[in-house]
Amino acid sequence: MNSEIVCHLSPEEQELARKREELAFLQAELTDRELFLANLRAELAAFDGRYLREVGVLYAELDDWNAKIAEYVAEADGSNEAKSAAAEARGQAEESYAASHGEAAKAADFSPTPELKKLFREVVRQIHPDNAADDADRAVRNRLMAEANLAYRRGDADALRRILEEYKSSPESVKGEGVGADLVRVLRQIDRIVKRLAQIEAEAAELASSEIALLMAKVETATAKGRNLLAEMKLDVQRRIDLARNEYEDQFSKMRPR
Amino acid sequence: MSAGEENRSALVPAQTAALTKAGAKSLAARGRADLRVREEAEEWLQKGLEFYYKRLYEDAFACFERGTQLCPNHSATQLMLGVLYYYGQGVPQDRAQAAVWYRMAAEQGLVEAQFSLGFQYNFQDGLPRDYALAAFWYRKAAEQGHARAQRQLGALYAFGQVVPPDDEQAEIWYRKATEQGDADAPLFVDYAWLCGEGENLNQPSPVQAQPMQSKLHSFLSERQYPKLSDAERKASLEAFDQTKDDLQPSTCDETSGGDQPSGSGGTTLT
Repeated sequence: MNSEIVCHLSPEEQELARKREELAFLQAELTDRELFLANLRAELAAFDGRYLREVGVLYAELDDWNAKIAEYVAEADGSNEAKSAAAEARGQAEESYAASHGEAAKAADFSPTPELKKLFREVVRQIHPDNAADDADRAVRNRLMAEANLAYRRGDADALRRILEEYKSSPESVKGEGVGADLVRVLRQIDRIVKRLAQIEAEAAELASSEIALLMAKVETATAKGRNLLAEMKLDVQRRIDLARNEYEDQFSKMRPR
Repeated sequence: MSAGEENRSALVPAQTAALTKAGAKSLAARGRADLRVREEAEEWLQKGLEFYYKRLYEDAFACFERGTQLCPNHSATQLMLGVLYYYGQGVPQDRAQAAVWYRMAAEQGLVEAQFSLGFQYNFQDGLPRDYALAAFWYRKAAEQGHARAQRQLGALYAFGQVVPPDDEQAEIWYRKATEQGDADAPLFVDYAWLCGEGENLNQPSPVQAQPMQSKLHSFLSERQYPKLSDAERKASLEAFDQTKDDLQPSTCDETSGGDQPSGSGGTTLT
């Protein structure tokens, strides 16, 4: 900004100029953080998918054998405790199966290209709801933002480009109602963005402390040391499956002599 | 995830909710819990090994027991328990019980356990003499590159203890053993060994190992061996049985004569 011009601005105009600078800074920060959050979610979802496909299915198998054993025992024993134990075991087996074969397990690996990231940032910059002019605009932006997140997660650059085209916005297209009104609007935007930034941090913290994130961190540390932690976990659960299967077959041959 | 929601909090909250589901039974939670248990078992194994190197065998035994209680599948701990029972360190010697532990570890692929089990079957060492099973377990260890198992396996083929005697197989295994440089470390001892499952076999272990010096050893190492007469075979087997004594690390307590096989007196050649 040219210092000569500043001298000629009123205090409100100077304040507006400062606040616009602050807003621009915050908008850039917001774009960064939205990308960060989108990456975090996507990486965790991808790891979750991998974990469920590789280890989760084994836990489901283990639970199934345990349920079979419990059901067998209940059939022979006949007591109410045995029956409810069997029902619980079967419930657990069904839950594990659902979890390991459900939607989450289908999550593909996530490896965004630099272009995809750039594209996402550009989309966020243009359509972020916190930059909305009014409620109707915000509604549209919210919808597009959700779609953009999904497209990013899928690695769908074309979808992101379509979003950009659909929303031909003019960020500065605000009715000039005077410096005072502009200042109020800018202050409100700053306020919304600051709140959204805090929300992003909170969500990121929640994600980072989730079981799957902690597990992912462990796997990555182990990989750095040359250990394949997922493979070790698979081996471990597989052995337990073998033990359970043997136990079931033992029970079977005990109960029904040939 | 519905794209039509109006408020900000709809910006993919469903994904986050799914990822942060921390119910006690969530599969990720179970995975982590099992990892923690395994890690604790590893810690007990390490503590036990420290006691072992200091020759505090009872403390070592207590640690290994705790480890198996936590994680019944931990193969290295099973191997160590087998060792303590085998040499009577920290527990009264019980080679049959040792074999029980060795088998558990052997079934999980731990090469030293496989070799030890084969050895026990081979020399009626706490287990009934069974050359077929000895060959079975030697072979598993041999295929992972265990030099002594390779040599013993070759011997079983050469001396006809594996029916039918197979000179070709014997040659193959002797050759492999010789190529390995005939590592002659005792049954186990270095933790890297336990986990390496064959990788570190040819490194000398920290607990001393005396290379086998018997004549039979060098005889067996030759790439071409002549056919033996029955008398020669008997003599070779006697010598071979005696080399078993070389396998005891010098730190171990003297074993009682009770369940020791006597030379080759009771050997029946097939």
